[in-house]
Amino acid sequence: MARGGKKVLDQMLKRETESTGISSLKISYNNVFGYYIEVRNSHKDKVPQTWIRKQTLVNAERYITEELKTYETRIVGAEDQISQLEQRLFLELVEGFVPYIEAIQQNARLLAELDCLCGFASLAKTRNYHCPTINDGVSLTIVEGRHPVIEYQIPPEESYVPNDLELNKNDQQIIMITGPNMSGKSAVLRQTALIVLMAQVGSYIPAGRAEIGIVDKLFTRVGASDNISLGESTFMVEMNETAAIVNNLSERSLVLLDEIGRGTSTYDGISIAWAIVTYLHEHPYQPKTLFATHYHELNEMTEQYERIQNFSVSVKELKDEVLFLRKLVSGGSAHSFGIHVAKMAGMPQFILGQSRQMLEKLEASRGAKGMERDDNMQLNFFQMDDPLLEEIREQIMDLEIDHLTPIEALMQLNSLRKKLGKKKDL
Amino acid sequence: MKQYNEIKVKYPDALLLFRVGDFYETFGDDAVRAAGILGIVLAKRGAGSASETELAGFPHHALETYLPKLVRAGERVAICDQLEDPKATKKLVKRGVTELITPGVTLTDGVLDEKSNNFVAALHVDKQVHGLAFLDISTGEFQLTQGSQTEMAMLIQQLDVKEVLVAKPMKKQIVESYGTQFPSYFLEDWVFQQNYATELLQDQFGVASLKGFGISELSAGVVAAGVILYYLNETEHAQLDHITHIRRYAREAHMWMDPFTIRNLELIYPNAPQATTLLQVMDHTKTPMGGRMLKRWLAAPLTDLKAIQRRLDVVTDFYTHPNRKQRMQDLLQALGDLERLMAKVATGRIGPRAINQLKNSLLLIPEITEITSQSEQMALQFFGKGLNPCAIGQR
Repeated sequence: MARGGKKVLDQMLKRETESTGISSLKISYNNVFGYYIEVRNSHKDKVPQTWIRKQTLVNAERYITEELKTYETRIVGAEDQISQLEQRLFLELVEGFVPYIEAIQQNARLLAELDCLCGFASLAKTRNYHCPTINDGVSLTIVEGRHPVIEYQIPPEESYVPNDLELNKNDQQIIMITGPNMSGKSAVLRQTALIVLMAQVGSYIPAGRAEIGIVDKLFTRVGASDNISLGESTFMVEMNETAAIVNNLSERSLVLLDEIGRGTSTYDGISIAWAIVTYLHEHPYQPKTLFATHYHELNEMTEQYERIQNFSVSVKELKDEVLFLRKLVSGGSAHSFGIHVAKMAGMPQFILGQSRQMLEKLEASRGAKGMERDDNMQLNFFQMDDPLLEEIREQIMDLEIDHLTPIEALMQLNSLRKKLGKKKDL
Repeated sequence: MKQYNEIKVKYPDALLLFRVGDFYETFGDDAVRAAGILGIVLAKRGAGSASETELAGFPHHALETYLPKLVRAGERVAICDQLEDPKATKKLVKRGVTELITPGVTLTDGVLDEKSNNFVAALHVDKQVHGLAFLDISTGEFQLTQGSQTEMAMLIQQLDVKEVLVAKPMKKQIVESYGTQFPSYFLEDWVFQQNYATELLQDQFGVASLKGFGISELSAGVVAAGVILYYLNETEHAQLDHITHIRRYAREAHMWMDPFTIRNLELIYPNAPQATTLLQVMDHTKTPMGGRMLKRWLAAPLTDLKAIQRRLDVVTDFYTHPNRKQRMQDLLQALGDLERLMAKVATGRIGPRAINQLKNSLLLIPEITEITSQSEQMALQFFGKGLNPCAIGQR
């Protein structure tokens, strides 16, 4: 009906033109009146009585006829019907898909996976990654590892300094990385975590090659986070986070600790860090650990614990400034270069001078003491006021027997034993 | 106003958009909040009289602009439409709430992030066992699991769940364990019940027993899943044909990463506003559903050697055959968001253009299958075989 409409209107126009003798008739449509016939004023007198005048314009009049109105109603009705029909057909079309929903969802899942894996191939090509070797051992070897995000961000003229790293349960379970701030310690930690993670997501990695024994738990404590708004200090947060780590270790865990003990006094910080590293070393699961610290006192731990090794991020000391080479090398770093960094930050000469003097004084006095194991401590049951005995008594009394796990009990026993020294005159 | 109050009483904690003619109106406190969030004029009705009420409104066709703003401001929004043609009735036109939009249950395009799932979860504690179920109504993804509190907390964070349904009596315990930042919504205790949940699930999937899904042993998780279905009904989401099954989330198959780790490593969310995340560096996906999946993958690396190797094998195949990779990516690019389109089909929110796109996308599938079959890589071929050509695509 709607399509034939034009023809009908043309015929109507022809008929009316002939019957009225008005040559310049027009049939048009607008939203206000619908269909109407327009007649120029010069022909006004020829308009038949049956026509109903609807609108007067400057040089024309507009009329409707019965026939035209009937026609209009039919057209509008037809258009309505078409619209309803369209709706119904569309609904049927949509409903036709419903039985396929599950199949298409399954497709979508597979296609999403294909999309990710294809994307990984593009990624590897664009960023020069290589395929990792995954095994079910417990070691981790990374050759020429890079930090994926940092290398993405540095300008094209610079290139990221790659580093090798090895962690195993024989002689290198815990790597202690010392070095000045800004030297790249944190980057080494993070890139290790990211490389392992990327490999276990199924992607190529930013490294020359890597052999990765599957890691089932990844713990990181990287950087201070001041949740002051939640009412916790840096130190408190740190302790919470570290507690969460030591309570959940497993054989394949990878632990990354960055600047533990920073939020409190130096001696407290060193002591706590020392205790945590000891715990990780002695733990039956022997979790692989990277420990970045500015406390180079901790470098002494490698003497006493066979699976702790010292590394540092190399720094070149020129006459007046310090060059960060960002290369991981064996051996601890002697200084923390804090004063050099202050200088680079633009601290006034007076402050720098005072700092250097203070540093010399402190280093001289600190060298006299040491964190050696004092083998002269013996247990003598008849010296009841012996401070060591007191300490041991306190430690035993403080134990919450009801809440000790077997492993923790063994750890406590081990610690007590160490306090008593190697001489067991019991 | 009486009609308004009757409806408002049923949705006390939602912002009620009340359709009046060509406008959506809000009244009282709702109006004050809406005016603040949307920047629209706050007016007063019956000024000076005893029944003075604030009101604020906007034209109905502006809903798509204003609704996302309200949802993003954290409001629950109830949309109350006129249920019949006002011209057809002489009395008060019938009105009813057609949809309740909550942070975890939303189908509105303007609110959803293309590259992100939007999960609602339910948590049920049965003695020491914590059961968790989660659902994205815009894709139909529905999973459950159970375990310790730490594990559930980790999962909630990994999935970036927007709303967690909890039983009212648990309120104190939740605040103690998870803090006040936890996006919880409390429901009546009676909803968290084994038989009721099982029934709801069986009804939804049209099965006589849940054994087929491998979840019948996870009783706490099942209760949580049932709670979610109940909630969908309460929020007037009855068209759920696209929620076709539920799966067990295999926690042990994924690397343990505590919330600190995910944040510290800036995997998905940056710690500073301008910082780049690993996700940004790694995202070379061509479809929104791929983007969403990558995000889920990064929060849950695998721990099974074979599964990891399978993925690496496919990557290697594409890496060593760049032409194949290019063809595949061209096809993927043309697919669009199949996942969310199907949800739109099920919930009746799809338009003609989208249906056309759906058809075109489905027609591409045989070609994709063909590409995968060219590879010698078993893992890649497996994909091709899994794809269903869906004859309907050809109509």
